[in-house]
Amino acid sequence: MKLINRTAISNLRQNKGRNILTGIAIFLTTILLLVIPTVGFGIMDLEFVAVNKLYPTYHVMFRSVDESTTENLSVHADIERIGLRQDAAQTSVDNSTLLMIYMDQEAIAMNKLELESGRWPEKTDEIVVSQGSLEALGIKGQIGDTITMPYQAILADGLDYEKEAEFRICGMVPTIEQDGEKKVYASYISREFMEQLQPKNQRVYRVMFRITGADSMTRDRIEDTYEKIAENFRISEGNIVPNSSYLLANYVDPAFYAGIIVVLLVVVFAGVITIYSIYYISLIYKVQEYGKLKALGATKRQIRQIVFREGMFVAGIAIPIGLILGSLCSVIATQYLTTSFASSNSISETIRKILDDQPAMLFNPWIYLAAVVIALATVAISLIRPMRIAAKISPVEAMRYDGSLKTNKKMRKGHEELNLIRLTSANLSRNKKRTAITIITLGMTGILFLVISTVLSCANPKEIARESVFDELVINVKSNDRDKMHPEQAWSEISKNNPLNESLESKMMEIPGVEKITKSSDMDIEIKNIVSEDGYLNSSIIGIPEEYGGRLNDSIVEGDCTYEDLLSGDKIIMDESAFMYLPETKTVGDKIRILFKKGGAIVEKELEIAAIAKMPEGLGHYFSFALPESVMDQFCDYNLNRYWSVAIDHGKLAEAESKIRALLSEEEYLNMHTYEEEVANRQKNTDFTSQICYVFMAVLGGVGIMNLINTMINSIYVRRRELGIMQAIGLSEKQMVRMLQMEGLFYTVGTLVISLGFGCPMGYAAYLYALDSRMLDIVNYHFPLTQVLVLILVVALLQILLTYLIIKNFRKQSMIDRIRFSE
Amino acid sequence: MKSILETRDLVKYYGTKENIVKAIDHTSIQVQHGEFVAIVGRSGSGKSTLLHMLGGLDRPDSGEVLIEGKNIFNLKDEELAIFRRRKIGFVFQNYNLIPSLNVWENIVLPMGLDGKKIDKEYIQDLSERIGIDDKLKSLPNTLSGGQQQRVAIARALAAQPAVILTDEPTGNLDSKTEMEVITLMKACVMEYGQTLVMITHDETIAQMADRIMVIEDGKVVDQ
Repeated sequence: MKLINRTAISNLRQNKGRNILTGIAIFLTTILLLVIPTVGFGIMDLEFVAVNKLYPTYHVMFRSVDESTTENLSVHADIERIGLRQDAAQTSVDNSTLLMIYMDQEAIAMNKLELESGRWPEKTDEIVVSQGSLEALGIKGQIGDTITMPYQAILADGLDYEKEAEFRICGMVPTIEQDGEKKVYASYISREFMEQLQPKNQRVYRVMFRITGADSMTRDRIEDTYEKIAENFRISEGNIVPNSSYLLANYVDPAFYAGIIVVLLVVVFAGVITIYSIYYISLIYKVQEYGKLKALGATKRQIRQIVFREGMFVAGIAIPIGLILGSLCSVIATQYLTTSFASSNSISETIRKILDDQPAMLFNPWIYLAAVVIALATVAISLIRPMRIAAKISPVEAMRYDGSLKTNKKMRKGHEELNLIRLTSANLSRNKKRTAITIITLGMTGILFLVISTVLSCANPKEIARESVFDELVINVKSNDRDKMHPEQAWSEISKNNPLNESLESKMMEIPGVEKITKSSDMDIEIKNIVSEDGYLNSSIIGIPEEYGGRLNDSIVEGDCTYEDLLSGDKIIMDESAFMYLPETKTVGDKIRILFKKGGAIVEKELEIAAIAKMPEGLGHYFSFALPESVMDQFCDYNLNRYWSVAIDHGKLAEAESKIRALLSEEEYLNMHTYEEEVANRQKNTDFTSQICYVFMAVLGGVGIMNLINTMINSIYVRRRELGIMQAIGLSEKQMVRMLQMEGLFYTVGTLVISLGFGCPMGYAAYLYALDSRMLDIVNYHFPLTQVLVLILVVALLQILLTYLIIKNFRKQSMIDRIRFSE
Repeated sequence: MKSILETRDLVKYYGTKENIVKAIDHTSIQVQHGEFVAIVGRSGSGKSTLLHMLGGLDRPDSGEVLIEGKNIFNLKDEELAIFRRRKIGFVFQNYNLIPSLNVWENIVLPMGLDGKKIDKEYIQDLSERIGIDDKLKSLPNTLSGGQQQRVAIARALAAQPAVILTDEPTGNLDSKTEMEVITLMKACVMEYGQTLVMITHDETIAQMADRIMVIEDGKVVDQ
């Protein structure tokens, strides 16, 4: 054993060149294996921490819960933590409302309430206030002071008469900045005082809680769980308030994990073929040595062990270096990604702050362990075949081995006249397998680069933006259809008094530069479920204006139908995206029964799906169904305008835009976004994805380059004598350089032919796939010309540099030494 | 008669001070046109170094090597390479054929490097003379040692150089083949009117030469 280790270590020194190259390949592989999951999961974790720091951490809140139900809920097995809030009283002063709230410790914790100073109220006369609320009351006070406050108790039948009480300030909370005229301030009172104000039967609590084991649940399961609890305790749907932003922020798309795993597999694959190829190629030239060892009595197992351990020793050095540098890269990459691309919202700011304060948070011991294990496995897999080859070498064969490769070929057709090109090609064809392995492994990196580049170059920000904003800007109605607390924010309500009305239109048309407004409408419908007759599916239809008739026709992917055909009123277009959520697959020719409100009555209508379309965002706005606007107008009494696409003269764009903005600032429900904003937004997305991809490709390319270096060096190293002989019989220095350059050129051209030959069609296939799956919102195919040129340039420059360095190194040895090489 | 190959006060030392090895120590020799000279000496006597100097493979510390009256070390590396492929043929102990080229290609390699049109008739004639005309398409590693050395000899003769330099050309061959090869080489050299300088430590072979030079410690002690 000791001897094998010693032999392996001395081999380590002897094959310095090869081991440095494998070392670099292992090192780069390790970096990728560490950095990708660290940054990926790190940013995700950071987001979680930031979300938990910023948002209230309960999953759901039940309103109007009586006291006995709260007691039952608090012992429910599915509830992990529960907090109570009771609004006991309020008072109005001028424009401000002051609430007196009781919250228990859990509720305080889950809502992340923090005191500026002092403590939370315990006794009946204790209160926690903010400076803002004191100012609103027109009084001054600090901790320990006694103040008199007016209040009206909140009772089941409304607010009680105003009373006054004396409180001692026991703590201060920060004043929450509020915009607008109406201001609401909170003060916190003790449980005792709340109970004094409200009789037991009149208390209706807000109960906030976290579901047990939610960390390993999907969002859907969390929702199912609390809905079931609500059902059991007869909490009406209107009194269930999910903590949506928190739930949303904690949601991880399972595709994220799959994505990281796929990328890591690519890394492992690249690592394996590179390290394997380096060993395979350099092994060919070590035949004699292993033969000698065998002749001296080494067993197959021992030879395998020598090769294996040599590889593992290299890994033992390269992996730790990779881990150290990878850690550094992870921090830098995360910092870069979170600063350069994140928006300036509070989450991003919190993330940056957490990262600055404790960068160590990024490092997950499991990822390190996994990186080490996977890197070692990569090396081990790469070594399997070289180990076998080395073990199989027969001593006799090996001793006779003269540096040329063993081939079964006995004859060569050859050429009658010889020149440098023929000489070079004779050498390259000598070991077609080796040449092929190098070119294929390099080519694969090239193919991957081209596929990724194609997809990225198809993600053209301007083009994608144009798909969602047809003119200069879009004005749309904001609605909130899921908030039961604010039914007035639902589209069905807003449309009764639609802000996108004639008066706004005429005001807008007066603005200089505004040329045309194209209007699309939105109608809420219910689809009678086909699976069970009594079920309904909420959906909506986009009303397509006549101007967009052509665009609609263009977007049809299945079926045969034109805008004009739809005017008959008994046909409808379905968007491809509807497949995603329709409970039953519907195709062209199927009929659907829709229900809508008209004049207070519910009307049912049967429509035939005339075609399936793939509508761009600006046309379909992600709706599932589309009808001509004129048809929809017949179905409904209200003005259903939802989107206004505004065309503006380019010369007057800036001025018109600011005037429209000013006009809309008074409208609560209107929102505007411009083409330029959309482009900027898309640009940011594309840049983000591109940078990640290209950095990844560069490192992966680095792994492949090690392979090229190894092939070139070995190919020249082993031919030292041969080249020496050629020089002795008249190969001039210039000719040698030209010959080596031609060899290099062959690898360059070969790599490029494979990269481009396979990469371009595969890139096109990737584009088709991306288009179909709406990846990156790709619209048109763009050949990645710049990337192809960069690839050609990089491969060519690399080859030139490499040839230059090798020749320089080769010159150091005298011709005599080269000739004597094998003597 | 004018000598085709001449050295004047040739010096080549390796190492420094105490470890100095005087591989060639002020050696002056002359070889006449058409002559067959054997250089003999013990291992380490400097005979290989001398041969390398004669062929312009290595540069001396001082002194001159003249081939056809021209000091080859006045030539630049590039010119020297060209000069070598036109004027000198080498035969090494290890045959040193190019494994990726077949026999024919190995033979015509010096001419190919020189960009010369190949005189196919001459090469065909030469390979028949040397007895390898049935192996022209074979790759070197399929040939026996004797056959490989024949190819090497053909390669040295192919460009019809003025001087053939050989370093223990039969060192790796059995005695029967050895004699065949030497006889063949001598016959060819005579036939084509070339000059042959051969290093050997085999007395029998040396006896076949027109002249024997004995080298000891870098000096020619007996001619």
